[in-house]
Amino acid sequence: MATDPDRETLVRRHHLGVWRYLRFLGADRALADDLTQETFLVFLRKPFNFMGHEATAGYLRGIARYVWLEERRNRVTTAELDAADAAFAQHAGPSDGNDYLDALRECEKTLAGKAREAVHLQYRDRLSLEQIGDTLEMKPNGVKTMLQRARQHLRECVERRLK
Amino acid sequence: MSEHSERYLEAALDELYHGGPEPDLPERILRDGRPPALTLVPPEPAPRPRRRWPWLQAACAVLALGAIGLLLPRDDKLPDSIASSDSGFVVSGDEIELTDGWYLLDTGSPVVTAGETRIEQVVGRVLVKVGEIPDEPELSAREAWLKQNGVEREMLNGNWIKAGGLAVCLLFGSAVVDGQPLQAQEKERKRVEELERELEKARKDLERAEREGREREGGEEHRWNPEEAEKDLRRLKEELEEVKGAIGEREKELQAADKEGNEERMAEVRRELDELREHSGNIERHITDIKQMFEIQKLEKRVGEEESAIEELRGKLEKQPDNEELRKKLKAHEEEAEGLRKKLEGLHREFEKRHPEGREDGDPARELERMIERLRGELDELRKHPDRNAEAIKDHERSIKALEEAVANLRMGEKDEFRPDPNQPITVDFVQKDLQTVVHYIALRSGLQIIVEGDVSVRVTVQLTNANPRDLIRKLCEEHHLVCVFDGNVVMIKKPRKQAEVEANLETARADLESLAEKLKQQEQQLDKAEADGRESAAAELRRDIDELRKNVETQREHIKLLEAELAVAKRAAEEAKSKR
Repeated sequence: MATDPDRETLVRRHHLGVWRYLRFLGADRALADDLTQETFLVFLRKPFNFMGHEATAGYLRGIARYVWLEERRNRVTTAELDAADAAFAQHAGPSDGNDYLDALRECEKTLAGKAREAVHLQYRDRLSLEQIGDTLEMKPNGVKTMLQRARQHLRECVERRLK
Repeated sequence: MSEHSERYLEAALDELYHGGPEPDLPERILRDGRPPALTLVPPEPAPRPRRRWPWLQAACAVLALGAIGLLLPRDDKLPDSIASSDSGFVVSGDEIELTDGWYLLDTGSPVVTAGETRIEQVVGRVLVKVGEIPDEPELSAREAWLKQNGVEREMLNGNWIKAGGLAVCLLFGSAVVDGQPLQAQEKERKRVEELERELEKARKDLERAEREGREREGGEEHRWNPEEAEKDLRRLKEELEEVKGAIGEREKELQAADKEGNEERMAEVRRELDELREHSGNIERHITDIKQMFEIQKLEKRVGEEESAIEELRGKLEKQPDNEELRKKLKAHEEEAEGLRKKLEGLHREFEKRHPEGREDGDPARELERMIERLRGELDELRKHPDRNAEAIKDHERSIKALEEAVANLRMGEKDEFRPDPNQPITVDFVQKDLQTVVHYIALRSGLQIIVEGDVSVRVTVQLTNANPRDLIRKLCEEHHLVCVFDGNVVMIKKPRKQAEVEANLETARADLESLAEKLKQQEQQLDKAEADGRESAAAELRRDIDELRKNVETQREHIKLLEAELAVAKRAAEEAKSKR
């Protein structure tokens, strides 16, 4: 009979999912790091019956949600979080978001022309709309529209691949 | 959901380009996640038993000092597995009797008692306070001591239970309290179950209240029969005519009474007139309701027809996935159904708006508030005998809390009831207002996201009734020589760029399109080859990429169309400027 995973295995297996969930809720990278730590701190202090990785991921998200609520006290409602939970579970799926990221990596390659450049400039180089506009010789609003279309393309592409 | 999709995608893009969390995060978690060792804070002052019992004090008074030592061990000391704060206790054999203060029991702690209550077999950590569950000021006063012992305030939230004369908070692990095994996880599960039960109860109450409300409010709807409704409509119209006739007569009577200076008669006729006018208003509302119900029925039928057609087309498309004609038809039906559904929603909303009094009666939140009022009354009665009714009081308090939350949620939902719809006609009436103000209003009413470029500055006079918001924006743009770019629900309004600038952009866009088309052609050739070679997985991959590229080509074509439209506006503006000169 297989034995339950030890704490180290659980941390290594699930920390990324928790981190992604917190990023999705709106935490910046550093805060997501801190809150992931805090989530596991609570998790490891409590006795825990292992009932599979999917259940563990859900349990951890429950703690992370509480940690996030505490962090954002009075600024986020549980109704908002309920909707966000459902959306995260739908997008991240059982792989904790690994499949989504793989699909996105492939879809990003199908972007062409200025749209691809704009996505790189915004998300890779973190330039503002004005800076991107200067680089691509476009107005910021034009960049904004183009980025909207590019994201829509990426979303649809990822969804198709994940189906 | 689309907002969440967007947010998820953005987080994933960031991770794609900048990686996930810090690589040492698991190590940090594992390093920091270990339960802190119990830091024993020496009890201050030295743990002298506090003589609280009168009989003991009496004994002390009677007995000589030497005898006191026999009764009360002076070297009482807590074992390492217990931390205490300013506490009173008596070590009695293997057990420790608590009389006052706060204690942290760690794994291996001896049995602690308080009166009849016993805590034993601690595996993990338990916080114990003699007396009632602590309130905020008490917790704040102990915060430093708790922190020293690795206890954070949030670990205590809602985790206290009352056992005899002790307040017990199981931080983690398990313990046996009064013979009952208690587990941190188990305890939480029980709490969650209890909350869920309450929530379920509140939900059922809510559903019942909603159902009853609907039955009261929508009785007519359930009995809807077009023939009957036609008859009603005819009858109501006749009645309206009669009432209007009566109003006319009373108005003449009023004039006559006025001429005669008969104040009494005038007051009487006025009262009758008010009643008749109210009656006439009611009939008119009823007539509007029936007409609207006809429209709703008609729309529902059409939605049903569209849905059947969509279903059928989807079935066909599954068998012929490459049939573009079918795909186009499906899209057209889906759009038609969506438009009809929106119209239908609008009609329902309008109907509900015109019947606030109906909602008052069947208002689920109001129903729940009534229940809360009733429960509060019962609670007041129960509180007259708190000892006898302790359990019932708790139950009532819990129910009231759950119902109050349900009411708050419902009220919040009501606030959100207005949902702007870009396809709903709106009415605008502005005189010499700046464009930004006008589009701000249109955006709020329609839900369209409208961006006006900073350098646009025009004053607008517009008076339109029941206009489609998109058409309205188009008209405004045409009127003021502006360019509107529509992208789904996003609209951008900007000044036409100079002809040369637009032409340059158009040229670039066309070049991009060509390069995309070239890429598409190459992929299609590769696909032909992959299919000919029987490389099915490569072919599948290529087909997906080709689909994406086709979409990109389409998008680029749309972009070019917009640029062409913009160019036309720019040309027109240039010509007008020229003719003015």
